Amino acid sequence: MAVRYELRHHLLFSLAKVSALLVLAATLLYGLLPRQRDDYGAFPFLLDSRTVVWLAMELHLMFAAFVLGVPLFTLIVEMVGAATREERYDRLAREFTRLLALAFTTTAVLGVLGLGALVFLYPQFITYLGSVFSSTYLPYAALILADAVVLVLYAFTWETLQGRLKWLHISLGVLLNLVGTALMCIANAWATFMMSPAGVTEEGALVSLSKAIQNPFWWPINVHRIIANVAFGGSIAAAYAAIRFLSAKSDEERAHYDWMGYVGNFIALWALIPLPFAGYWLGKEIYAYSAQMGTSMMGGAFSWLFIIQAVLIATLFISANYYMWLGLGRIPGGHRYYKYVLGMEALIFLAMAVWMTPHTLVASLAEARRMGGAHHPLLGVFGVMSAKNTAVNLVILTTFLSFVLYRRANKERAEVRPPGGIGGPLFIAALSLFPILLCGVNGFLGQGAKAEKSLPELRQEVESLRAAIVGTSEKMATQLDKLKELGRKQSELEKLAQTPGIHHAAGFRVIAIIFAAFLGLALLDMFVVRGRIGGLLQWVILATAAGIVLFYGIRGYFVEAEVRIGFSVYQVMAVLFAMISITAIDLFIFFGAKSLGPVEWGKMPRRSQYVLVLLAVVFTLTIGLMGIVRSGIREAWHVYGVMRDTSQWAFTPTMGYGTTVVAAAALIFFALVSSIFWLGMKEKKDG
Amino acid sequence: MLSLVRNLVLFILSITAGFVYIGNAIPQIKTQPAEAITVVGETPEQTVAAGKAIFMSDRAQCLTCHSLGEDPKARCPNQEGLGERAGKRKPGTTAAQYLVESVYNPNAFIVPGYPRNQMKPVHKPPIALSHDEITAALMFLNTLGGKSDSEFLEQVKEAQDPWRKGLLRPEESVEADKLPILSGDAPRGHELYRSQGCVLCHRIRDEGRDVCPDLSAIGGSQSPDYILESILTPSAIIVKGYKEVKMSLKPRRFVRGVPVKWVPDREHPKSIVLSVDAGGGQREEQEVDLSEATSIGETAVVVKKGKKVEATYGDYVSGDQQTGVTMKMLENGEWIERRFHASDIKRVDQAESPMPSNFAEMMTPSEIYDLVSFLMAQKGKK
Repeated sequence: MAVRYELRHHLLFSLAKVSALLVLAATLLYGLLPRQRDDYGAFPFLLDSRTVVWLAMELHLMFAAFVLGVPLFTLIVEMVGAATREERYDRLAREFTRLLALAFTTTAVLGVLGLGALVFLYPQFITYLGSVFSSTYLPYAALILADAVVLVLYAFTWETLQGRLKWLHISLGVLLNLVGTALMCIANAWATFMMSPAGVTEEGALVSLSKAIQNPFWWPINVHRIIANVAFGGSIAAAYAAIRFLSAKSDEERAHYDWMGYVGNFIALWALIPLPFAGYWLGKEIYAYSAQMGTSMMGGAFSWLFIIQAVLIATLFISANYYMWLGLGRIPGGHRYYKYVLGMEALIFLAMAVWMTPHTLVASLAEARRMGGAHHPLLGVFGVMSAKNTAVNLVILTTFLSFVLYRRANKERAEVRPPGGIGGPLFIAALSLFPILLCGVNGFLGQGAKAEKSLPELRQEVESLRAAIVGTSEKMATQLDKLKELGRKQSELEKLAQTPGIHHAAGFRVIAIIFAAFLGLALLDMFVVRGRIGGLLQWVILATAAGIVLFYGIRGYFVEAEVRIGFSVYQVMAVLFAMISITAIDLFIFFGAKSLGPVEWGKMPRRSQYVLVLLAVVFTLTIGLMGIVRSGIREAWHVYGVMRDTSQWAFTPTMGYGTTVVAAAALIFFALVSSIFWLGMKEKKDG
Repeated sequence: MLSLVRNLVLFILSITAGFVYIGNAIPQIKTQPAEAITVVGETPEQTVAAGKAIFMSDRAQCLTCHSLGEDPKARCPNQEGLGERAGKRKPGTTAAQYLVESVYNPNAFIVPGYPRNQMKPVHKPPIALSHDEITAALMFLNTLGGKSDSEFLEQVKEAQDPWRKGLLRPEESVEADKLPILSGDAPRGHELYRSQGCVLCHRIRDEGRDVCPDLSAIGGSQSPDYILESILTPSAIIVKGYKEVKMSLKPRRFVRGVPVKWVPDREHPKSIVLSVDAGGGQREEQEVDLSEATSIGETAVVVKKGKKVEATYGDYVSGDQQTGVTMKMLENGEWIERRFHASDIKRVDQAESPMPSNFAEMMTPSEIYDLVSFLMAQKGKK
């Protein structure tokens, strides 16, 4: 009865809050906006109009990432708990879900504040955006209401929906994430339309809402933000755990929060791994949409921004690895792997130094003269995509190796592997079919493979026809038909030679065969020789993956750009296959392993917890920094190429100013999040 | 607890301070929105000066991809020397027409070796230069190896006219230049160039004559397809100044040849020196007194006069057989425009090239492509 009452109370309270905010938003849009007479308003206190909107929207975005990221994180943790039947996972997920309600309200309040700033300071722009997207406002409001309802249901039915009803609760979690993701996608449509408008005439009049929503950058940003939200949610959870660890009064409490921090960091890091690739996809789309926009982004004033981004990403990877290496200390037997740390550390530092190397920098004439051009004679070699792709893939492989060593830290393999325990390794091994099939299809069956196969035949035909023409003494006038045929066949040949993927079919075939052979050996190890070659096979796979990454990284310098771009797919596939297959083998060979003792949760140096806080802060700063470039490449346009920003704040600010605003937003965000955590803790204590 | 809070606050502050420090330590670039540059004055010099400012501005974004001077990493062609190349880039296109097309319709012609779809039409957003700004920028670009005088300014404005009126739209893409279907042997082509009599009219460096266009740099400015077409159907595109002039003389005489010189000048001519076919592949120069000419020009309009038909020669200006044709005619030593009504016209014979059009009957495909290969190898300066 009490649960039902509590649920009803929270539902009504939440609905009332959200409805009030929605009414306020509607009043701003439909009541106050039409009354604005000027194109731009002025903010009366201290800050300029743009900074006000920037701060409000940045904070809204950070909180949105929080309320979208944390449910993704809690759902993953809850599912792991349901699968492993370990209650601590369930408790962890629940602890965070309770914090969400307040964060959700804060996000909505910040959203309304941001909208208010836009209505009063940029009325002309928000009126135009409304002329394109007003029909999305109602579904957006409905989704906000739905999100509020599902969130309350998810948070307050935790105890009721246990046991056989657990699947129902997990379904609520899935629904919560689906609604949240849909909300994010609608808002992304507005933001990306400003960068790559579609579905409107040259004058900006709406032609197709569907095209305006599915503009060129919509999907890349959607995917990038979903992955980033998981990483952000994990890092915030880890930071929360770290603070609780540092303030813990008992060993038991310390142990719990040490474990919580570990889980948060684990999830954040796994989501961090695919982020650079999602970023490259977005970059590729930017170049495809407008080469000028791409060049301004990577080669102009923003080239320095990417150096700062590289510093932040390097901090993330180095800190995350450092946290894991510190974690070896709390695991009996972990010291056996210390010997690998120095090598891994050196590799990560070197790779990150390569990643930080700029391609083109805005240099003074004197600097350019000293370098002998716009590119440094030695370091310029590392500023290109071949080097950077290689660097980031090697960092990912190294980070994965840290995971593997951490996982097996307290295990000593049994001399004879006991039977059983095949389901998990087999399931993971089956996942490695994805890179194998992807490479196999591209290498054997794809458009490029087919073109590659028919190319010699057509080439032969062209040569025969050419020989027939050249080999006679007939004059040109009598051979015009044959020449036309030759012209037609040659065009066909040239078209065939440009088939996408034709240059990569052979590479995909070789890699698919290598992967398939490794998978075969892994299965041989599991079913025939029972783990005797597993350990060696893991090292061979790791070395092969690193070899593929390095080989194609170096080869990228000697081939044309259109061929080079495809090499990054081989590198990603090699890393992906290595991570899946090595994990599968590891699960198999360490089954029934002798434990050197349980993980001594809580026995972590205090500095390790500061590393978790550092990760969360750096994630937040990275979100803000990337916001600068996402918005900045529009230059002095509200909507790129459609609606100019004619306000006095249309200039692109310096990086110094940009980083200051982002830092201020991050500090306000952490102050607000800390308050939410404190209220959450207080509520729990009171409860 | 308080010390923990203090430590955490200091820790977070130090991270953000580090971030702000790096942000402030790098070069501080504040990019102002590009403002429209007013094209002041009407003289070519003033227009060129304004054009230079536009070309260099952030607003036009030209230097984002183009370079002034060799830069191997530049995404788009080096603009140095453009004024010299512009008139030779595209067959049948003047420098002004080529430059105008390149900025309004960048995909219409792609300089070999550079990627397609790199440039947006500059009169459209996001660059959205005004037509006058474009005129000025092109005037400046032409000074890079060429001369931008009032005549060139008029040519640019004339070429811009359909774009100003919105009659033309940029193309999305155009098929790239193709490679020749037979490879050809350049040394053999050189032998054929001599044996087939090309040297009698064309010049390649020190060899040949100046009756027809100089081919010393043909390979650097034209495609193999263009050269092939010029060999097989010489009249398809005739380089300006090398069209054959036809002339009817009193009483009922006819002369044709390539003009070598107008005496005293083209505007008010008294006589003309023509290079005419002397038979046996030879040519000779012949001066004709224009007071004997009843009509002279590159194009013939055959008109009906009762039951008779009569050819009148002049320079084509505009129109066609269906709507009537306007021609520039030489009458009493002055050039005047005269219009022929469609109902009077029996046919219009366009200007012809003095070059023989029967190479396809005289040469094998291999020989023709040997010749193309030899000509494509001519990339040197004149």
